[in-house]
Amino acid sequence: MSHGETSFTYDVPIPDIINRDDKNKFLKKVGQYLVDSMLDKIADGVSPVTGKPFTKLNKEYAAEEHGGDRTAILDEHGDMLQALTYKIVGDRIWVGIKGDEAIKSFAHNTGFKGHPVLEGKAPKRQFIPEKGESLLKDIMAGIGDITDEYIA
Amino acid sequence: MSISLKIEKKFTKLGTDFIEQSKKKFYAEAAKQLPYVIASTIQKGISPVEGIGRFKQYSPSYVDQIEGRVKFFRKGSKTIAIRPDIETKQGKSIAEHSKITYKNGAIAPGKLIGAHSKLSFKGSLFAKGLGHGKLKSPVNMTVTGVMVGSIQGDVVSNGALISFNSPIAKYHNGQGRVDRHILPKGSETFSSLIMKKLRDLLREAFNN
Repeated sequence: MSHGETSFTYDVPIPDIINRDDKNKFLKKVGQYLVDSMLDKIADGVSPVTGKPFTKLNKEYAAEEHGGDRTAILDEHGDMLQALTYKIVGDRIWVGIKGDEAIKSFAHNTGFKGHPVLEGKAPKRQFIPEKGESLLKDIMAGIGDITDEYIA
Repeated sequence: MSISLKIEKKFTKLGTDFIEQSKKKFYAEAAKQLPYVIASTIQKGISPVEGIGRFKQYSPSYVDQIEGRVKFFRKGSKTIAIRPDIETKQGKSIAEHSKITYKNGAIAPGKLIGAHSKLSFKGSLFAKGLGHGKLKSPVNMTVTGVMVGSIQGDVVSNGALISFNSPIAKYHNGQGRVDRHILPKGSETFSSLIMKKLRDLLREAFNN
């Protein structure tokens, strides 16, 4: 995870039975599923990594900007979450944010690590797994269902 | 606009009664729960259709229209969108916004109201406040909530039918300029996120 890219890579277990033509479709489906599932959890104000609710929004800020709703959904103008995407790299799937929005994503995922003012003050709202971490079991279980579609 | 669900897989090792009962259970639960699941996914800004993901954000020029910064005029056979706040060589008042000049015969979205001296005036695009739901993120097809709320599920003969009753719904499924699909059509399928929920319902129906 860096200022220029916040991401994780998933080694997809691809059954031998899936032929070459189907493999790309399968990987695309898994990639889109991972992104959709992450967005789904984030929209509920829940971390797709820890399963815990994100730290609630500041009371005054929520009153001013969100009609009093303190659920943090990381979706102020939508640019950062719009940038969350996947790429197929060989037999692996890269999921993350690159480019202009990566710095915002880095800040949320690390609790503003390295920020001169906000580090240690602004909450960490992690939605991208760090090295050695994974998305929630519930999300990962869905990949098994997608695999079944291709081997049934 | 609608989609119907049917179980097509053959269960040769299971008893016929059990299969029929389980299918019925599944269709009943799908008709009951799927509309809620789809509506909630749409409201989170995610398409329930495979391969689309998060709904596309509105273009900056469309946001300009919503915020009332753009007005439409009819000039001869052309509909011209202008940005009164942008100063051009021609002057502030009739600055043409080239990116959103509509072709002859094209229908500019929004209400046709009023008249303005020499040019016929199309007015601001939205009645005050109405378009502002579209300025919120995520893009979730919810301005008044009528369209998303019009989703319903019915058990039909040997299946479940999920439909949007609002006539606006079809414009998001390919009849508008930007596709923000809210139900699969043709060869499309539900997203894996929705399919996961359907599989859970299927497991419940066949396990109980």
